Amino acid sequence: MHRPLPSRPSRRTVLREGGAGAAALLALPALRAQAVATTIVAPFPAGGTLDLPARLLASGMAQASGQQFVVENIGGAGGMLGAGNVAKAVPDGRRLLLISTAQPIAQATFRNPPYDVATSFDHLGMFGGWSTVLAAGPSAEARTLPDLVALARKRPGQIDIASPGNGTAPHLLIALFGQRAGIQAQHVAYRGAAPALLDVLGGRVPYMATGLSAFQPHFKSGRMTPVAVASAKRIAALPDVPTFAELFPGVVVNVWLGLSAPGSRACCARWSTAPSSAARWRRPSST
Amino acid sequence: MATAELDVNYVAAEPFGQQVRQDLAVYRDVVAKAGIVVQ
Repeated sequence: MHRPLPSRPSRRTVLREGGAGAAALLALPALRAQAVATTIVAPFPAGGTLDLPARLLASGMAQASGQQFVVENIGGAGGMLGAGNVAKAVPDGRRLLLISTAQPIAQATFRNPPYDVATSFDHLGMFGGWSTVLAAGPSAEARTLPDLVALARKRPGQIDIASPGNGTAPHLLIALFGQRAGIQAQHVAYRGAAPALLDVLGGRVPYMATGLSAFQPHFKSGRMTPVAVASAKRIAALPDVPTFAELFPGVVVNVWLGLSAPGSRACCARWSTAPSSAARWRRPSST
Repeated sequence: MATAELDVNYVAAEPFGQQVRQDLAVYRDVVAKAGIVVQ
């Protein structure tokens, strides 16, 4: 069900690859026909992790189509505010959502979300993502997945694992890992990856889960050790590091990025028969 | 930043929609079992 995804992208990589993703999306002829600006809502603040992919996607789509695409940041509530805004938008194909793993996670963790990812959107396609990794810091006693599980079973509730925050993909990974492995790891939530890394590198927390790019300098320096990758398959950047799923099937938590429009299937079927509608979005084939 | 790469292998609408719904089901199950509530 999940595709193997590599780590969080570098700016250079997003610049290069974002254009390819945009080109794939612009296989949609209706996009080329649009004459007014299409807004891509990034449901996180400007400058955040998901802001750059949104802007580069918008730029690439504009270049490929000759049409205008603008990014509007509507952050808050774990991405729910922006997603809710698009869910309630007029389904004319001119207001789209940069959707990510954050939306189903927020729907699962918040009460009364203003959207339902299963019914509120027409999901146009996924264009990228990255893998979540569990890493051991300097104070970790176990540095392999089997050793960590054995240690956690000896000391239930005493193995701390940091994440960038409550309701994040790494948080869900820690919970899912604990459930499938039958261990009680202690989730330690921070406000972002940077402060969590400081505590892990300082030896105050032994383990941490987040996107690979945050760890890579520390893997190279030897201060941290990759324990397991939350992809369905091993990733090229860490070919010798096992996936969680190798030991515990189903423990797969990637961060993916996609583009969604407001509306349901019934809505979009109608669009496909309306030649003047901006919703003549046609789904591209996989590339 | 790292040399990590973004996977741009495009997933078309239908399989992407299926993944979104599958992920939602998995996350709901995890959240319910773990008692996670974010307010």
